[in-house]
Amino acid sequence: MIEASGLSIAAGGRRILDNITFRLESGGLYGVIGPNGAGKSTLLAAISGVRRSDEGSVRLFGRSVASWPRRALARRLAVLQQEPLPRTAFTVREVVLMGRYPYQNWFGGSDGEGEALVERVLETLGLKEHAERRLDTLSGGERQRVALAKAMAQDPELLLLDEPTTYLDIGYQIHLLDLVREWQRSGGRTVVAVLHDLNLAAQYCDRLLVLREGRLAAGRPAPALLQPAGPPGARGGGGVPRPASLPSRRTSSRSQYCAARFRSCSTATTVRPPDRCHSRTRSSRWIW
Amino acid sequence: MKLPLRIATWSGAALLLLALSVVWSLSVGSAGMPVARVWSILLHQLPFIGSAEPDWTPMEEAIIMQVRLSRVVLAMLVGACLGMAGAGFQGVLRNPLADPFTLGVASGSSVGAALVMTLGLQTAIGMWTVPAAAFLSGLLTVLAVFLLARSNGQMAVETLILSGIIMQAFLGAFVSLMISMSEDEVNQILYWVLGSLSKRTWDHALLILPLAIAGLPVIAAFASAMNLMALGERHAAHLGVHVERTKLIVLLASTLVTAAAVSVSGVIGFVGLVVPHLIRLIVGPDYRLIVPLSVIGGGIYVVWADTLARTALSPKEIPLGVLTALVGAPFFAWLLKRRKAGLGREDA
Repeated sequence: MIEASGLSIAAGGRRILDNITFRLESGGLYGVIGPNGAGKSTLLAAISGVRRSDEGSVRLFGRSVASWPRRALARRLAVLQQEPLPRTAFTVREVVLMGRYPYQNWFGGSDGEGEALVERVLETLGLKEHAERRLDTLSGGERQRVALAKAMAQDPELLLLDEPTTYLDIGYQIHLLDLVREWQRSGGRTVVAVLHDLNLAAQYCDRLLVLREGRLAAGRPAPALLQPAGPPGARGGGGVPRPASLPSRRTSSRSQYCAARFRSCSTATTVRPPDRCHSRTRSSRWIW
Repeated sequence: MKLPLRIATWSGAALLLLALSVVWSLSVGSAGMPVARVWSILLHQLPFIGSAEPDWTPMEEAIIMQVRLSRVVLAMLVGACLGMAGAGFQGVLRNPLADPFTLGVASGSSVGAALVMTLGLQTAIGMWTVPAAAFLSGLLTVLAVFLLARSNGQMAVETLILSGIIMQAFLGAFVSLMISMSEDEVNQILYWVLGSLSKRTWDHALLILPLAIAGLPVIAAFASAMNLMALGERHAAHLGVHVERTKLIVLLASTLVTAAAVSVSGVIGFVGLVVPHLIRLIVGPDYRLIVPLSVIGGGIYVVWADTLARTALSPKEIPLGVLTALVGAPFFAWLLKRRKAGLGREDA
């Protein structure tokens, strides 16, 4: 479904992405993780075609992404961005209907099944009762849910999420990712998500891509990447009871996940101060 | 209500208001005339409908048909062009201050017109010398702004607006220079810059009619894309909109119709700013409604403004551009006040 080979992107004399090669099969929820500035969002932009690669190529659905006509691509690929939708005067239903743009004529009239789909999406995401509300009356979390509805209304095979939970509180983050996973599984779709929170990434993703300084540091199934942390206190995670072995993803409680560490995180700390890596883990543990 | 029906309903209502405004404007003037007689004279021009026996003098018919109607039609067309261009500019620039003159077309046209007048070449190629010079210099200015704002094959909105402002300031200084250097041409240049529709003929109206007709479908075709761009350029791109292409085509088409209007009327400000905002306030943020209604609304606004300009201080005439600014600026201030969300946040 997605094939990147030798993908490199440079900006301002610095290589943001450096010779990245990977291949993702369709069906599954893939996570992209890594420290700030590792090139996660740029990778997503390259996959969606809004950012041209300097070297190498990205192929989507068996065809170079640059050669896809934008409208045809928008029927198969949707993107959920980090920033919430702006506070416009459009209503929730109008914005979700915009997801049908790649299928529509000027009046938006020739798209009968699309309207039914939009109603279903509104229903699934619990936006039905808000359908006539204007976006400028909604909270940031609600607007992000509308953005997700818009992306789902595009009926894509592949959904890219660019840190979609950045501006959301933890309850909303989990809610949003629950919705995405449910949608991904029920339709046999593919989701690639840049996630900031390693715990969320571990919990929701089937497989993780770890980026570090623009290179692919690891690409393995999520459970294999999960490892117990080092000795207590050695890396700032002191006081947390560490499970002797990693609990299974499906059965363990959230707190057990928080206690778990990524080996990749330890790898990443070679290029990034350890305390930042741990402080994020610690803060999420604290919230949970 | 379904969109085509909404467009038809609103446009019908707006066209009715426009027709009433035109007839009202025709009836007022130094020689007052009852509205009913204006209707009769107008209807009389139509084949088969007009009453057989005219109950008015040939003089009255000439005043309506030759003197006033040409001017009112020109006002309507100029307003339609400016309203349309304003909707286009606001749609792709997504800035509440964007108007047809944002990219410097007005100051560019002024330089061209002022230059021709300063050099005393007003009639070098007949009556069209000044409009042609204004049109060309206006377009050249906008192209220069495009080049200034372009980097990596893209034009960021902020850079475009700033480039336009810089160009306006620069060219404005040139116009001021020419005004201060010239002696007896002073009034002529000033009068042109202030904008007016007096001493215009049917030919002027016929000159901008084709551009107005050609511009509308081009800008309207991008109405859906502009709706999506209201959510942000990235959102629009991910939904299949060619963002840069949309910006370029809409800005060029809007600039062409603006330059056409400016070349015959001089600089008439605030029409393209106020009208689309007002329409948005009434019908909501959908550009498929805003574009056609701004065309009609612009026509109505300028017909009213021009009627006021030629009658308020009669026999003296207020420059039209002065009047639209006197009315438009406070109105715009009120519009901004009304927005709870504040400047720039709820401009979609």
